[in-house]
Amino acid sequence: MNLLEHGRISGRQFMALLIISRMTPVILICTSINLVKYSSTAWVNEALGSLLALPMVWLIANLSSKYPDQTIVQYAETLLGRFFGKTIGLIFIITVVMTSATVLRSLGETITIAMMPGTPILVFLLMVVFLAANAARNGLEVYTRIAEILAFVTIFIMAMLVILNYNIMDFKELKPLYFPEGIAPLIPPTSSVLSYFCEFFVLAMLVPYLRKPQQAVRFSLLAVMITGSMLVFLCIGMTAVFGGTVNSLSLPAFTLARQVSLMHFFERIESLVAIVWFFAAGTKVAFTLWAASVGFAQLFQLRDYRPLVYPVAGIVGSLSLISYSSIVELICFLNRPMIVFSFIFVPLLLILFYSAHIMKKHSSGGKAGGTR
Amino acid sequence: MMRRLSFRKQRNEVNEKESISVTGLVSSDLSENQQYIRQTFGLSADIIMRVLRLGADDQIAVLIAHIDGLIDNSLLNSSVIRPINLDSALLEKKCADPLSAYNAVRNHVLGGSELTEVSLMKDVVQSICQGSCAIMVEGNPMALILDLRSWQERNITEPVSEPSVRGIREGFVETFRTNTAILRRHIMDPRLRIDETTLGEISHTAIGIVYIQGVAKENIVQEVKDRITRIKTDSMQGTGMMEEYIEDASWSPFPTLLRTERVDRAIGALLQGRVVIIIAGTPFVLIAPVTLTMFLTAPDDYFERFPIGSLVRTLRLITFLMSLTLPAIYVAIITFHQEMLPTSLVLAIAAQREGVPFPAAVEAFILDIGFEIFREASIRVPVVFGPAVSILGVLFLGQTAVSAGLVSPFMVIVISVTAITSLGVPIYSLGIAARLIRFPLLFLAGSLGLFGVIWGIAAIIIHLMALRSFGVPYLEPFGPVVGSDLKDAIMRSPWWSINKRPKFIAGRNKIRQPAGQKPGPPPAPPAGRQGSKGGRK
Repeated sequence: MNLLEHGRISGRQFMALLIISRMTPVILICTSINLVKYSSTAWVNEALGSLLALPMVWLIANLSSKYPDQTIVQYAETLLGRFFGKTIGLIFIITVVMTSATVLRSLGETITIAMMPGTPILVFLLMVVFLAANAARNGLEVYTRIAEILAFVTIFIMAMLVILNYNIMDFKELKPLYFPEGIAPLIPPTSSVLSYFCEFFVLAMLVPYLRKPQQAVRFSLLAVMITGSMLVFLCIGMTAVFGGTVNSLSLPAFTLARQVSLMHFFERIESLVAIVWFFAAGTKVAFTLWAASVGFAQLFQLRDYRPLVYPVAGIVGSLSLISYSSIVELICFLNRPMIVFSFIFVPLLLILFYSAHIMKKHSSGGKAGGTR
Repeated sequence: MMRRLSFRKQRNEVNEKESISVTGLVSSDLSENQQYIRQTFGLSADIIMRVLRLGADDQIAVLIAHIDGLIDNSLLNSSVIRPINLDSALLEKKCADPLSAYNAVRNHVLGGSELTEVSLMKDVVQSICQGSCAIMVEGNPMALILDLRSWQERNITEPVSEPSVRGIREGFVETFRTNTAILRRHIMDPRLRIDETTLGEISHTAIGIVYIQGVAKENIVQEVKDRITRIKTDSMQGTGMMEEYIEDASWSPFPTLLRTERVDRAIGALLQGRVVIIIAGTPFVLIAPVTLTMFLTAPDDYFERFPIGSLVRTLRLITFLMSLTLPAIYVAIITFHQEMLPTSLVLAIAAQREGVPFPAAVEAFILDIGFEIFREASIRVPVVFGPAVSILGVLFLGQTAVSAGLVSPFMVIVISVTAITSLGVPIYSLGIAARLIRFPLLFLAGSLGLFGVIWGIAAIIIHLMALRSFGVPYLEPFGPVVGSDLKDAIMRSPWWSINKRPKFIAGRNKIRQPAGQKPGPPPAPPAGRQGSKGGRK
């Protein structure tokens, strides 16, 4: 099977890439907070969603590590046959393209809102997607190296945001931790958190490029745990700072950065957050562009994926522009339809793949993972 | 086809040569050889040929040919001419016939240790050109080449372009052999290999590829050699030319080879497993697989104690980043994001900029280009005009431009700080790269504000992440992150903790030193025993 890419990444880089992809949407919308009814319970949703994500991500990573020399597009064909495999592969790539477009649009929206309100969003979309395509064309190693450093920086900045606001925190805001209406109000925010973790399915494109593909399971679970605890930490911080009004904030993490004031000098670090987030979102766009291009190239059995990167980037750029008319629509999409879509798509794919895998295993007398 | 054309042009000359010595071999007839040399060198006055005679009846003629000025004349007298004239008389019996005379000259008479025999006239001429002395004995179709090279050379002085407070006070010089000897003097081990070739069809420049066997990675050494042997050119003039022929990315503003005239830098690089390329005729050497951090380190970091070394190195990184981005960030903030500055500062800047006719970006362009012109001119300015030019610069550009309302004082401050920071980069070639990148960043800042600056920086980072120098990632300890190499990147860890050589560079010999050499006070003697006795065991 042709893997099309010569770069290989370490387990740590793989983990960093997953952390970056999960942390990216947080700055724009923190759904667990925005959807919650009682803001004091917001962090419970984060924790619950991350915990529920663990078995799901285990299933995804475990499936991929059974085919350590194939991406999902390739083993879909191995498992489901030529026609169904290619169809599923195509749908998978389209979801990756859509993810890319969504990230790109949210990045453009944030820049427009936070930095340059007068400039048309198209300028930012084009410039970012061009840069991301450039990174993707340079291969897997380039953007994973950026992600590796960025993961450290992101974790550091997130921690700083909470720690530097310690003086205005009020932990009484976390106090009434009760659920008078049962667990029903917990379901929408928790499922939203979980739906973001569904994006981890993209790791199925990365596993064969790991230096040791058997590490995929361990490092993807680690990534879930790290991001989960970071999100819980951030949620607690935001609730403690803003109190009951937190669920009406539009950019909670950004606003949190705005509150930081140390000695009346170390202020306005929201631009720092914006820069880090620009890099994180750009890396995610590059990653998804790369995954989509490699996927397309493998789907149509091309010899090289690089000529596809710029066309795919064009598709992503225009999709990001036409898919949503405003940031409100984007947030509404992320809050409802995306959850429903993820909750249908991911289990469907997992059931399909696992049943096919088991059937294949039985029919070939235990010699699964055929091409090894 | 090209070769054939040029060959046709030269045919006349070739015919002349062929008439002298058809075979191109050293003839046993001395006059024929003499004529060949005379013909090849034309009317050059500095080619000197002398015929001596030896044997009982002076029956055997000896021709000595060399170039005046490339050879040590006293050495020539004491080890060639005097022995042939005087000592051969003692060996009268051995000089009976031409062959035995030749053997006697070769085995007994000539002094000096670097003696070779050649049979082709082409080689004879070539070695004369390189400063050897050719000795031919009549009746023998062989020539003896004695290396007596010695010419006026520059003394080993402190490196001019890379001064340092506590580094080694010697820099490389223009002479190839002196440079190799300097390296040998610092690394006295047979594993130090100096592979020599010559480049340049006309210049015949000596090239030395220096590395430590086992410490350097074999495939990197091989890659360096391959790239150098691929070069086909008429001459090799210095490191800049070599760099352009063998670098990884021609269009990148960032250098992928490090050029230095500091000996300590070259020694340090060799011991890490890098390859040093010496080119005859230039006091600079090239260091082959490089990373960006190498350009931001200076030998002083290692000669000072490590906390100071780390501090200075961090400062230098900040300096480099400032020289790259400071005008761009200032322009972006002034033009688009005034809210990021404290209010009083914004008001002060606004008051200053009130009379300035241009937008901030244009203002910065004018000042920055003006500064670049000034810097370029100050390199070329004759020494006598120096004070005049600096007065001109200070008064006209600094003072009057501000009071005329052409630029704002704050912009002058920003550009001056940038100018000073760009001189703080220890390696000149990276400093110029920063100068080159500053202008596009300024443009982006003027048109898109901070977003433009960040976009530009992101583009640079992507470029740097993709860049490789002889297969080694350019941002090595950071992209990919290599823990053991981070010890000697932004921070300079103490010597006793840098136990491993750089991961991507070191060959088989990866460990520099055993771990656990942290010094400390002697352990306290255990109670109830004689400390000195126990200690000596």
